[in-house]
Formats: sequence, C-alpha cells, structure tokens
Amino acid sequence: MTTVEGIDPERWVQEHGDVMFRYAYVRLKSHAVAEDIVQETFLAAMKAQERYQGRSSERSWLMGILRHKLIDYLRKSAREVKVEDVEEMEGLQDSLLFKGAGIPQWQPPKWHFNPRKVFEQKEFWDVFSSCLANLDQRMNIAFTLKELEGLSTEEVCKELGVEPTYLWVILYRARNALKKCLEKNWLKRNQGLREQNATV
Amino acid sequence: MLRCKQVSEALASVNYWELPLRKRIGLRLHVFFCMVCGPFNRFIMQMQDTTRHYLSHEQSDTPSPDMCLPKEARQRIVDRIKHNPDQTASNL
Repeated sequence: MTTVEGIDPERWVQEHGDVMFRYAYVRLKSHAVAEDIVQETFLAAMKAQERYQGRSSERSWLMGILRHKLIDYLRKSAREVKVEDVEEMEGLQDSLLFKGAGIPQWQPPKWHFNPRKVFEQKEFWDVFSSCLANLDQRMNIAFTLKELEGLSTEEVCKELGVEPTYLWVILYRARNALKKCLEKNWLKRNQGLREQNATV
Repeated sequence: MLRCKQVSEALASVNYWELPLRKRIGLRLHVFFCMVCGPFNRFIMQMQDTTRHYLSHEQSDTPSPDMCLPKEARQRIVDRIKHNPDQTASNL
C-alpha cells in the first residue's frame, strides 16, 4: 500500500501546484482566491495525511480535497451573485429556447472547425481553459457546478436560487459563449502560426 | 421512437455520456436524423463531449505558463506549509 511520501513541501508544490492552481483558477476566475484555496488544500492534506491510504494517486487525493473546498466556496459565492432583474428573467423565460413540443427556437451556427479533430492537441485545451476562465461570473458558477463538477440540476438551482428553466438558459449562454471564444482564439492562434511559418 | 421534447429534456438534465448505452444510441439516432431539433441538440452534445475531454486532460496536462502558480505564491505556500503549526517537525 502506498502512502504519502515524507512530506516535502517543495516537492508537493512543484509536482502538483500548477495543475491545482489551473483547476482552481478556471473555476474561480481570481488569481488571489485560487492561490488561497490551493494553499488551504495543501494544509488540509497535511492534517489528513494519516488518513491517506494510497487507494488513489497522491495527485487524485489532493485534487479531491481541492474539489471539496472549491465547491464549498462556489456554493457560498453563488448565493452572493446577483440574479438578474425579475423583468429580464421573465423576458428570458418568455423567449425560452423551446416551444411546447421541445423544438428549439434557436439554431446554432455551424462550427468554423471540428473540435473533435483537435482533441489530441494540448494547445486546444489551453485555449479551452482560458475560455472557461473568461465566462461571466454567473455563467461560470453554473457551468462549473453542473458541467465540470457534476452536481445535479436540483442542487445547482438550489445554490443559485433559480428555476431549472432559468438554469438551462444560463447554461445555454455559457456554452454559446464558450463556443464563440474557442473559435475566435483557436482560429486566431492557428492563423498566427501560419503567418509565422510563412515568414520563416 | 423518441420525440424532440424527450431528447431536449434528457440533454437538459444529464450529460449525454452519463446515459445508459441503449438510451445514448436512441438519442444519437434521433439527433442525427432530426431536421427540427437535430442541429440544436447536436450542439449541446458537442459541448458536453468537449467538456468531458477537457476534464480528462485537466489533471494530467501541464498548464500553459499563464495558468501556472506564480513564483511568489509558490514560495509563500511552501513557507506556509513549513511553518504550519499543525505540522509536526518530524514530518518535514
């Protein structure tokens, strides 16, 4: 059975600090809060090291602690996020994406590139994480809790204090914003690379 | 045969890849052939799929420099761990 190797703070931070920081930053949109939560995770892990039984890798164990801290933080933040004016909310619900029969009123424009074809390129995921971090705060919280952390619709609605239909609209907006950001930044990046190659 | 409403509601509440295989096949067939809800629900499925792949890369890929823990924060955290009052000296 593996256990946490003798605690060497430098090694811990060296090996896991960057991945933990990105995980936190993408979801929290704040360098300072992400740094704090990473630090709190390391401190909590030190306290709990005797309970670590080596059933998972050290990275997974630390990420598990980080995830719990992060969800707690987001739950608290969600309550503080201002829900849009009732008028706007009603407007959104009136223009729901679906007619009674579940037929979407909105048709998404086609992708300018096929994301599946670039799944193997690490740089694409760098762009993806930047785009996630750029989502507006409410979209970010909803998308993080529902899509990244896998909380149920009921749980996310409870945290955000919204109805499921409203959550669906926020998630739709988040996906749309993410798609636009991915297209813009991925194509811009590739164009930059092509120009660089042409000048060499 | 699934109806547009069932497909849209299913994709609104759970991620496509979390559904049992049989449901996934029925749903995918509907979305592939449906001229009415197909484009919209294909988009939802693509974004869910992309997010799922992101999660599988997130804990293993090295972050880009702008997503790394800043040097000062790194040192501050190391110092904080070293001087954590809860930590016994024997572990360090």
